[in-house]
Amino acid sequence: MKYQILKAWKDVTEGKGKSLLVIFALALGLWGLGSVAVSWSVLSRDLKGNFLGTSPVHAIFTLKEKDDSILDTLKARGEIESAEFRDLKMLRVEVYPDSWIPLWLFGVGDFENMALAKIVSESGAHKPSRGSILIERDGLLISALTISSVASVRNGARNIEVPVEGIVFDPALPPATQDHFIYAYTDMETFSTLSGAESGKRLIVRFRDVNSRSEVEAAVAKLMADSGSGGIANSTVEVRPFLEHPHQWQLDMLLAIIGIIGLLAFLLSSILVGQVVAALVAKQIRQIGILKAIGGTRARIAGIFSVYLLFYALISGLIAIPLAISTGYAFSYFCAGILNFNILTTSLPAEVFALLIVSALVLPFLFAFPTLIKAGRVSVREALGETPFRHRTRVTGRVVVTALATALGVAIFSSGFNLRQSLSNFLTSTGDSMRYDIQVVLTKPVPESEFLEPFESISGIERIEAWTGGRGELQTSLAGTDDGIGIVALPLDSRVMAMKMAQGHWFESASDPEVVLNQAAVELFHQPIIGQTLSVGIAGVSRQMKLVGIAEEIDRPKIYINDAFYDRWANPAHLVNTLMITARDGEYQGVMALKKEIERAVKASSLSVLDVMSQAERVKIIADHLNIILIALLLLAFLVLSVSALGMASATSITVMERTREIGVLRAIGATPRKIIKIFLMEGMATSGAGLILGLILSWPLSLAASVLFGAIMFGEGVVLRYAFSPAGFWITIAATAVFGFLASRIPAGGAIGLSTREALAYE
Amino acid sequence: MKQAELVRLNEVSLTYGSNGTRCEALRKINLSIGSGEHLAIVGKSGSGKSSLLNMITGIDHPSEGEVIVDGTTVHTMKEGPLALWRGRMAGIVFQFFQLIPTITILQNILLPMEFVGVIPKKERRERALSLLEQTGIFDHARKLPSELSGGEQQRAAIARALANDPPLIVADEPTGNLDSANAEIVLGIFRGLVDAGKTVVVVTHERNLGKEYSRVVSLKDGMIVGDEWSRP
Ligand SMILES: Nc1ncnc2c1ncn2[C@@H]1O[C@H](COP(=O)(O)OP(=O)(O)OP(=O)(O)O)[C@@H](O)[C@H]1O
Ligand SMILES: [Mg+2]
Repeated sequence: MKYQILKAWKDVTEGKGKSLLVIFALALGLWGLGSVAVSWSVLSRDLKGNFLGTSPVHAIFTLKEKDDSILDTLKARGEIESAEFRDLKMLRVEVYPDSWIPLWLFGVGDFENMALAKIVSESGAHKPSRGSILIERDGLLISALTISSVASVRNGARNIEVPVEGIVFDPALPPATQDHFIYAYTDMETFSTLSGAESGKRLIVRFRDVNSRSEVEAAVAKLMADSGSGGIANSTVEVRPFLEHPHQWQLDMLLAIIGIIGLLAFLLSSILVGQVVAALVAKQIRQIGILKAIGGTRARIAGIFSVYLLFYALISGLIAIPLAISTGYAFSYFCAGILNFNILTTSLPAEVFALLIVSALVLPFLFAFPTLIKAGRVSVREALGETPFRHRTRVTGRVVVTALATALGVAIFSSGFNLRQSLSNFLTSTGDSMRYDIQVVLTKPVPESEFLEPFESISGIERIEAWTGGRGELQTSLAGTDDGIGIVALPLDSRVMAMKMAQGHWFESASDPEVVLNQAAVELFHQPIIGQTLSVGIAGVSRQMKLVGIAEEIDRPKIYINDAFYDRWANPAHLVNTLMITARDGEYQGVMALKKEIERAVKASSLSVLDVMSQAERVKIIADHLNIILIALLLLAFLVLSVSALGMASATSITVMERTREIGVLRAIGATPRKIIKIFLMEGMATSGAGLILGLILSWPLSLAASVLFGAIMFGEGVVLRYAFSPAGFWITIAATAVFGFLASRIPAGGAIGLSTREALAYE
Repeated sequence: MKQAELVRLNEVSLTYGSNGTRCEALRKINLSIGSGEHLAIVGKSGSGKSSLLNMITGIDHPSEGEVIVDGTTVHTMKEGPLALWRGRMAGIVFQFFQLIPTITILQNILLPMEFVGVIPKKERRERALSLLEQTGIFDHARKLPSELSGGEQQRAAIARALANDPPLIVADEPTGNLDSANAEIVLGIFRGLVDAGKTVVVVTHERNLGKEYSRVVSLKDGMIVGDEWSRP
């Protein structure tokens, strides 16, 4: 045994370059695997932990009539665990001077004894005093609001100054930063004063002993059917997704992405380790032969190599495990920041440590297993035989593996570019189809002149178009909608709408009711055909309209119709609820300045505004968000590409090492150093070339899948981002692969001529 | 010396290692080899025979002294030109054959021709086949080296050394790994080469040197201790 350890140690320390390569490769795999394991362990428990810690709501009832005894009635029922009032109304708040976003105002029944949908005080007051609010911490990141500042809140036509008294944490809500909302909490009385709405009609409820959404639904149905449940019987109800954070899917996505990265790192590292170990063992074949010749058994020889692998395992484990833990935590904190929850895990479960240690010890054996088996089998004759050079088969295997790794890197890299192209096409087409700059939306329709009046004196406005709309019921034999579909009624001669049509054309008839659907609506209507007549319930009456076109739009289902028909059917007074404004100065700065001016006019007016949005800001916000994702994606892809280049470099250097003596012979018979470098360079370039072609082919389905996936993540389920091919990305991918392929073979090939001819010839 | 001088070593010394583990493999060697000589270098193991060959072929550079082969100062040459020069000037036969295992015997012979390019492209194949014919392994042209016996591999290695028709052939114990029958074949080939006007330098442990070689140089501790001419 002593000999074994000594030999192993010598092997580790002598071939320093190769040893570093093995350790690096092992550590890489372990690090990838480990950080994934750590962040999975932390994140999968902590988001749930945060969410469940709030005692999330099972169902929300909105009463038709106020009922003072309703809480007592509910609490007396055995199946109800807890019930509270939690009023909700959407107002507007000024987050920066003349910049307003929606404010979700919650009226809390009892701040002292919250039993469900609990919020946690982070700083300032636990309970706001009359007339003031607490705000959710994530909102601090998108506003100038803070403790003791006074928020300007607008409710309909009213401006109210509301002091902020404290900051709370509410991990059950979708993060404010993502949805661009401010969440605020106040008592029920203040709620009424601020919102002008009746308090005590919205009830949040948790049931006892329910294990799924369907059980909740059953309990809700039973409760509503019971005559003893007071006002609940004729309330409207919303059953929440069962015990799931609203953005759980985002976390799942992030976990899936890191899962893939971890797997890639693991794969590449196994390839690297396998190759290097194979090369190391091959170098020792002669020694194995000698050991066997002098009586070493197969087990004995496997033992020697095991000791040798154990050294690598220990060293790489010592490097990678702490690294994995810290990156795992770092990633967890990053996700927690994005999704607005707190990391609760302070110590990892024993299983995670066990997994890390076991994989550190087992991985090298797993990766080296085929080689060890081969080494054990080699016969003395073969090992000692007069075969100064090794055979080609393993070299070919290595080339294939390297080409595959390159293909993987290329595919991801090029898909990143294609996805970027898809998104930029999307942004351009949105900009092209929506030719307005600013949109002002009211909470309820008003006469056009009343709506226009406050903006008449603003000189920066070039054009204003007034639109209206409402909700309509879809009427098909196949599909029905619960709350209807958005109807947008706009002038026949609209100058701000020029949507790209997927099929057919925009409505153009002044005499016949024509309709245009967007793609999501087409989906909802079960793929109607152009020319078909659709029945749409508008204001309770079924109207027949001819489908003339399908518009390319990434949005919720929408129906576009001529406002002349809408007015005739549902809006005789021609009330409008939306203004589409184009700015004289269409540049970003000009539009933003105009928006502020409009906000000032809104503030001074009596208009009950729901929201003021600028197209530029919307596009910019989307573009900014996308850019972060895309830059991350490209970086990641670049990383994969460089790791595959690294794999190639290591493969080449192993080949060079193995063929050192051959190189010596080549030089002895007249090959110049340049020629020798050229041999390796050609091999390397051919490998990257094969990888490149394969990768580009692979990138096509990958880009397709990615555009579907990212469309769904960013714009909602079912929204498909169009696949686009990025010519720039194509050339950059080719150039990057060529450069990487060149470097990854040129540098190690340089090592081939580093030795003198004599040294090369004597190389064992 | 009736022949023109081909190789000239002036005060050549070769020292391995640094101060701690110094080893003087060659000490102030002066040697002149004429064109057409059949020279044997003998000496005990470690006496510096291989080192001396490495000086002549430029595989290694002297620590001191000059090496001049056919008017070329070998010891000052850069790797690239040196490799080309070697491919053209000196055919080397190794003790362990050192054929490239992944290509056929024929391709092994063609390789130095491709590297150096003195033989016109059209003639290469024919020349290679005729060399195989000459060394008696024509039938093995399309085999891989591993499919040949040791003696056949050594003959292939000689054929490769002759590929570019070099005036100088250098062999380090070419028969060391062969049985007497195979060794005799190899020696016969060398005799034929000398008869055809080549200069052949062989490191050997054989007996009966006088019969075989025109000149025998003996080395001891890196110095020439004997230099006998057996055939005038
Ligand atoms: N790479 C090296 N590093 C250090 N010393 C070396 C090296 N190569 C050879 N030597 C030493 O130089 C001396 C001459 O070696 P060389 O190989 O020329 O001997 P040789 O006469 O060819 O022996 P053999 O008959 O065993 O092949 C020896 O003492 C040897 O130990
Ligand atoms: Mg020797």
